[in-house]
Amino acid sequence: MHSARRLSFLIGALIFVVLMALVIYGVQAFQRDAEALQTAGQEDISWSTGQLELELMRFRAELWALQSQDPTNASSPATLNNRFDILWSRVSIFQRGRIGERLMTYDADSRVVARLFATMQAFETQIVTLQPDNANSIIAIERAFQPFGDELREFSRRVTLGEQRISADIRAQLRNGAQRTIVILAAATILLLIALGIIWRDSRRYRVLAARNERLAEKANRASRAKSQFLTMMSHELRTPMNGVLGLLALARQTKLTVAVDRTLGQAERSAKQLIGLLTDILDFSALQSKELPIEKSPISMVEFASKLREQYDQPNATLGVIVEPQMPLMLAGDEKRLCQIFAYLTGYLIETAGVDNVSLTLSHQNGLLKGDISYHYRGGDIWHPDLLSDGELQDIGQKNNANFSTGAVGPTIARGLCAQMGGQIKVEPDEGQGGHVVVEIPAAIATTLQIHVRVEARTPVMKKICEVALRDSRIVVLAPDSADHADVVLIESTGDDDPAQFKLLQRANPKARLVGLGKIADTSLFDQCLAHPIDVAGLRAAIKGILPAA
Amino acid sequence: MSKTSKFFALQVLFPVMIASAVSAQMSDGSPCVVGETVLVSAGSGIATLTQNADEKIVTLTGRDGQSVALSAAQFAALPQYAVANENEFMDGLNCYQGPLGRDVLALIGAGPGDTVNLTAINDYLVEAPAVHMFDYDVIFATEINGERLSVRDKGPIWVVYPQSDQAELRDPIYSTYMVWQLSRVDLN
Repeated sequence: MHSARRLSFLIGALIFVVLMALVIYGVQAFQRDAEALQTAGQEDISWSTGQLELELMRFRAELWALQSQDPTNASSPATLNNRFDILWSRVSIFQRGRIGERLMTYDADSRVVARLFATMQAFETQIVTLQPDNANSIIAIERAFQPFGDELREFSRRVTLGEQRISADIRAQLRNGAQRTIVILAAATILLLIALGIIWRDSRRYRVLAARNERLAEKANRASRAKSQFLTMMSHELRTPMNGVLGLLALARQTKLTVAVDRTLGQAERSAKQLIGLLTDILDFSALQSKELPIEKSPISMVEFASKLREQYDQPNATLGVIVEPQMPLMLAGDEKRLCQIFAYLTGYLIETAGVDNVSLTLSHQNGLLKGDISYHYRGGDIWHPDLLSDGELQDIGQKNNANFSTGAVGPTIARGLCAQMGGQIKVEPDEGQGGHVVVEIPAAIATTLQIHVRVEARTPVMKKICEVALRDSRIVVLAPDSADHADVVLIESTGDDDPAQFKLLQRANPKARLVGLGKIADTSLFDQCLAHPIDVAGLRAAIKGILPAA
Repeated sequence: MSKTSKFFALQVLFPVMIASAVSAQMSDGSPCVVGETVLVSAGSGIATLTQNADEKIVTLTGRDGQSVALSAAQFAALPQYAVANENEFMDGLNCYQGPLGRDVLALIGAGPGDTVNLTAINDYLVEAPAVHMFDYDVIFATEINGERLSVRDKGPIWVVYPQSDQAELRDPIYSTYMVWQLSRVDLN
């Protein structure tokens, strides 16, 4: 596989280099063609030599005409001078500009134009002052200029042939350029096809690999799910008989026992409870691994939450101080049960495994985070290294520490998993030698505090006690008997012989209140809801809490 | 010609002549401004189709066949313009001065839709669309870099297209319209 990748890379690099070379070659060929086209677009210079030759002939003809005896062919010195000037102007074409430069390249060897000009300069004075009767001068001038006729004809031929050759070269160059372009395009197309082939082959190989990896991952997931399901099932199946054992132990301890037997049964009861706790941990761990642990979001009274933490802390030789900071909102949105688990696991781990005492928890709320600061002090012995609380995937714990993954690690691992699932984190602050801090931060929005006002019209102490138990909730405000506030719910203990007039008074005093009758009710039409004897506390709480969302 | 005089002509005179031609380019005091057609003089207004006794440099013929020959003075009486231009026949950028082609054509009543025959003193003839004169500032140059153009140097009139200012005029076809030693303008 590695060698195939290397080969693909080498072929790709080679194609890239060749394509780059083709591009450079193509650009250079294009530049050459553009230059050739520019040259082809230049003005034709053949006419210049032809005109020079023609004007020389005209000058010589005027020279002969000057001494002609025939009046029809006779010329004048002025006409001859004019012809000489025109000839001069044709020679000057060769001396200036780009056309002059191009013409002179053909005359580099013979220098016929330069010699002609030198001759013109030499005879200029004679020609300007020439008269028709000066036959000797005319003959001398004619002899001087006569040889240039043939030379200029030869020069014209050279220029014409040269220009034709240049045109032919340009045509050949353009033809070659077109052929080069075709070759370059063909080569580039072939290379691109090769590159596409390589890409297609690699893509196919990666698709096969991806499919294989997907199958392996699915297989691993199935195995993991099966393991989790097995763990869940076994834990559940074990917990049921253990609850039976606990019930029987509790029943047994209610009988008259000797002190020794009671102590033995007590130890058995504690062991059974520990075993149930362990089974619960396994269930949670399994659910976390399969990411099937549901996290709820409901209002939590933080004062009650702190009380629950204190109550749940079941350590014989240590206490847990829970402090709620004054700025803490009354209610936060979260999963109360899971939050309790997190703090219970962490504090339990600190006490049992890390060997510390004097654990205290301070709860606060900052920037949308519920912050639980667990402060601890060493009882003695080695300094604790809280590796199990450091960051990392939950699955990593099991793999990294597979060899020494003890039961003590389950608690903090579950705490970390729960915390991560809630979007929070656990930070272990630097150890100061005598102890330190473990800080838990979990996103928790402030919950809207919905309160319900309840008026209790109990006639017996028993009913009053039942109501007190049922109404123990931070969201429920029990109105004092003499309070003038409007009630949302009125709990009325019925005597079985209720006076309708009294109900009308109650309805008038609490127009929006829900009337809940408790006990022996004769006329149920007087009440919105009735709860007969024996009063079910859970039912009563449900009846009141059911009104909360509307309150 | 002796060998010495030949050597003198080939090795000394010719290079000197080329050098003098190269140096005859725009000077600091030139009226030309690159990229602009500069009005040098508004003309005296005497350039009409009337005959006078001076030496004639060009003959203009209208559509009705009536001809008139203009002297150098009459030609110079037209509004004079200066254009900086570079072409294939001269070295570098030179300042050409003379009347605009459309002003000359106006003397024979030529419009943008007409064609005119431009003829040189050696009988070279080209048929040029008059619209060139109206679309571009074509100069009938009589001076180059302040020097009057002689017959020996494409004079006395050279039709110069502003090839430096207008890229489309650099095509060789326009060089064929740049008639030098212009002697006749005939309206077809």
